Parts: sequence; structure tokens; C-alpha cells
Amino acid sequence: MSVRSEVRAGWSLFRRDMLKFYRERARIVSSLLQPILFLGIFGLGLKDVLGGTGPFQELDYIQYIFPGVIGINVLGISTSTGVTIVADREFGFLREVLVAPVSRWTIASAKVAAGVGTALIQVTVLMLLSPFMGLTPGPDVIIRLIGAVMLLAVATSALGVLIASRIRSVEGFQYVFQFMLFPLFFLSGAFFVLDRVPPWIEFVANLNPLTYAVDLFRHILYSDIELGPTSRSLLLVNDVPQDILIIAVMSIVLLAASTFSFARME
Amino acid sequence: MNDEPMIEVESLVRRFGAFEAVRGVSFDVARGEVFGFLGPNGAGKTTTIGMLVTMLRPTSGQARVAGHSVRTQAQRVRESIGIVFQEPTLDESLTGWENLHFHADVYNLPAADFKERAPQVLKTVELYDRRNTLVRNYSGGMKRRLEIARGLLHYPKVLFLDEPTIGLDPQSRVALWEYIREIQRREAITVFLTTHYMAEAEYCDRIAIIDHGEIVALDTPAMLKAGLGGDVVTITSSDNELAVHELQLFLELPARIEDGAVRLEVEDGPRTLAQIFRRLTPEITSVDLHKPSLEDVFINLTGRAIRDDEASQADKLRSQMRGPASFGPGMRRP
Repeated sequence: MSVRSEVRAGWSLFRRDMLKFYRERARIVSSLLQPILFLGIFGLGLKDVLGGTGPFQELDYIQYIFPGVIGINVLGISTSTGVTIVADREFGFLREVLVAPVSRWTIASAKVAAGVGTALIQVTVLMLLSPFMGLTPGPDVIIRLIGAVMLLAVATSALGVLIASRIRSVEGFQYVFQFMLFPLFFLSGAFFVLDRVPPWIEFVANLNPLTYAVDLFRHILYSDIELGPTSRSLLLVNDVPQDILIIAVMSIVLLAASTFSFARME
Repeated sequence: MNDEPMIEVESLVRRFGAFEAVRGVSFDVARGEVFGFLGPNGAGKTTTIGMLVTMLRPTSGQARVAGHSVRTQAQRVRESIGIVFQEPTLDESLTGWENLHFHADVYNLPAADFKERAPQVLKTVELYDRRNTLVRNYSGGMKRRLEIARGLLHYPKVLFLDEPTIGLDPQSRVALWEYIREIQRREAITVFLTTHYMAEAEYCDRIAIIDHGEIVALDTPAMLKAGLGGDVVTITSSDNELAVHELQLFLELPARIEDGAVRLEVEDGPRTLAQIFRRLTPEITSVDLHKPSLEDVFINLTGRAIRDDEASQADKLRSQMRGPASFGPGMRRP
């Protein structure tokens, strides 16, 4: 086992997942449809209910939820990297991978990398929609956003690998995943501000990587928008280094837990 | 160095919870040998292979494959072996060629070697012309052949085959054995396989008969059969109990009832049969006389027959008990 052979094996695993993603057009379309539905139903539907603007003078409601929708999209797509593991197990192919002279750490890392890769493709396509929402991100905003998306995607992909290493069937994985997805969505500040919630919800929200990711996305996407002090304190809860640090720590913990759990599988 | 066994196993044990699937097996396999593990479903064959290919950790005992310990040098063992599992492990959304290419990558086979070796192994199993077809469109036999080609791609020293012919039609079975024999001759590779088909065990240089997690006999097929004497006589009669009693008493023959028939192994079958007809009081309803097969060896050792499809209830239960492990018959796709 050399570093070279591990890199080659890891690259091959990564390339296979990306190729499969590319070949399954239906998956790309359906995973894009979901955020568009969110933006359409919540953004346009609630806009009128809320009287033209969202809870903030400076923002449309659709602009308010857009960072959260990106976060949800990353969570959904990158965690589905876990589904590819469970499906490979069901179809037997995982055994070909597990018995090869490749370290489990390489396999788990390649799976996380594939999750990050697919998330980046999705977010790039999603960003093409931003002009329709009155946001005109410049190249610097896009570069920073890509960095932030990668950071979040490492955490969520590792979460997917962690669940997958413990679950035997695709149905079981989807059940567990659905169960986790909605609390993560709604307790992230993506759709409503979490300033007047009971302490236990606040506690859960503080453990949610999406909370910090949405905060970080808002910092990046609203950089051209003038926000008043009240809006600022409600929308941008933490400062940027704080968000990055917390997501990075969560990513490392989840990555370590998932590779450890993956390595212990028999 | 050349005399060192390719596989050395000593007191290997594997437990799943309270159930002991493999109960201290020991054997050696020489370089270039085709070695078979013969036993009914649930006997511990797949579990043993699982430990030898480093997918299952032994509960206790030692095993070395190609000179490397399966406990402490798993990586080295994996580099030295090719494996064909009982269930398919191909990526059906890729072509045959792409499956081999992926394999070459994860086994770090140099590109030049791949170019030379991939067509060679594909031609051996007669799949070269179908290399660009998606595996999804392969038949069951083609998939199994592709797996064998893939198992050989990286020049392994030992090839493991877990029930390689299960689910194949008779022609494919015979063809598969021809490939295995051809490869073994050409490359002097060591082959370790499991089977519950008696007829297939005959292809092996040596076989170990395994039952309830233990090796009950280990020898060449010829020697195992010779151990039973000259002929096997089976008769059924209107009263089998009485027949056995009479055979033991009057003719001093080692008769016993197995599977609802009276069986005896004797030196001279035709002569004994003539005696039996003369002396037996119960009416004889059927007679069978044959040279001992491995089936007879198995029945003689375990007191029951191996059947292809009906594992005994206890065996079924045992394979279900393996549920928590991802390895073993319990994980088979419905």
C-alpha cells in the first residue's frame, strides 16, 4: 500500500460516483426541482401573505430564504452519497470495493469527495437562478460561496457515510434520512428567524451545521445589500470566522466518525 | 520457499454471538493445488472463506495466505488474492470492460499490464466480444465468468471461489470448470473453492469435507472413496429394520438404515448381493449397487445426504442467525 495507489483507488471511486451521477439525469433534474419548488411555493406564495416583503424591509422573502434553500440542497444531495453506499451494498458491488487492497479511510474519503462534487454541481446550477431573485453575485461572491458550500458538504456527506455504514437497506436509509432532514431544515433559521423559540429548539438549532452554513451563506450573498442594525443582528447571528470554525469542527468530527464507523464494518 | 503452503490454517474459529460457525479448522493448501471445501449449506464454508479473504475477523486461531497473516497483514493478503463471491459483485451500470478497469485501479495494476491482461482474461472466459456491453444485459453465466476474469486480472497467487457454479445451468457449469482448470494449468495458480455439489468436488486435487463448522475428512477424492471399500449396496425392503438385523446377524455385514434405505459398504458387491437375495426374509423392493461416490463418503461421515436445495431446518436457522454480519448466506438478496 502506497500513497500513490491509495490516491489512484480513491480517484477511481470518486470518478465512478460522478459518472453515475452524470448518467442519471433524472436524479439531477429531481434534485433541482426541490429547491425550485421551495423558492416558488414559499418565496412567491408567502410573499403575498406577508404583504410584499418578508420580515425584513431590505429583503424580498424569496431573497430571505434563498441562502437556506442552497443549504437544504447541499444537505439533500450530498447526503444521498450515503444512498450510493447502501445501494452498492444491496447490489453486491460494495464487497468488490471492501475486499480490494485499499484502506477504508480512502474509500470513505472518496465517498465524501463525491458528495462534495455533486453538491458543487447542484449549487452552480442553482446560482444561475439568482438573477431572477434580484441577486447579482459577482465572481468574488461566487468563489466564496463555493468555498462555503464545500465546507458544509464535507459535514453532510460525512453524515451520509456515517448513517450508511450502519444501515443495510436503501429503504432503511431513506427512512432514517427523512426523519432527520426536516428538523435540520426547519431548525436552521432558513425559513424563519429563531429568535423567539423555546430553549430546547435553540439547543437543537445550535447543534445543527445547517444553522451556521445558512448564516455563512447570508454573509456572502447579502454582501451587496445594505442592512439596518436590527435586521443585521437577526439575520447575521455569528461573524464569518465563527461560522467557518464551527462548521469546520463539525466536518472533522463527522468525517472522523464516519470513516471510523466505515472501517469497522464487517 | 516453493514448498511453503499457499494457505495455512490453524485452529480457526469464528463465532457470531453464541453461535460457533467455524469450530477450529486446520489445513494447508499447497502451491498450485485446487482445494475444495465440500459441505452442506450452513456448514461454515462461506465463513471460512470470509476469514481467509480478510472480510471477517477470526474469533481465534491463525491463518496465512500467500505467506501473510490474515490478522496482521490484511493488506498484503488482499493484494495476493482474487475472489469470486457467491453473490454477484459487479457494477451492472458499467460495461464488462469498465468493471475490469475499475478493478485495475483499485488493485493498482500498471496501465501496461492492464492492456495486456484484460483481453487475455476476457478471452479465457469467452467474453472479449461482449466487453463493451453493459453488465446489466449479461446472463447469469456471463456475469459469473466476468467475475472470474476480474478475479484473475491482477495476477493473484490464490483464487478464491465461493460456490462458483451455484445458479448456473449444467452446460455453463461444465464450461466454468474447464476455464478454472485451464487457468490453473496455465498460471500455476492456487485455487480454493467451496461447493455443495458432490460432482464438482471430483474436479479438486484434494477436498475437505466440512459439517457443522468442523472438518470431518480431508484427502484426495480417490482416497476418500477408497476408504469406503469396493462397492456401496443399497436396498429397500418390506421391513428395513428386520433386514438390517438379519444382515448383521447372518452375514455379519455392516448394514445400517440411512435415508429410509438399508446401506452397506462391501468389498465385493455382486457376490454380497447374491447372498442377500438368498438369505433375507423381508421382501426386497429395490436394489442399487455402485462404486462409492463422494456422496457416499459424506453420508458415511455425517449420517445424512447433502441435497442441493433443501438445507436442513437447523442449517437454515443457522444461516439466519448470521443476520448481523454483512457476510454470509444471511445477507443474500431475496
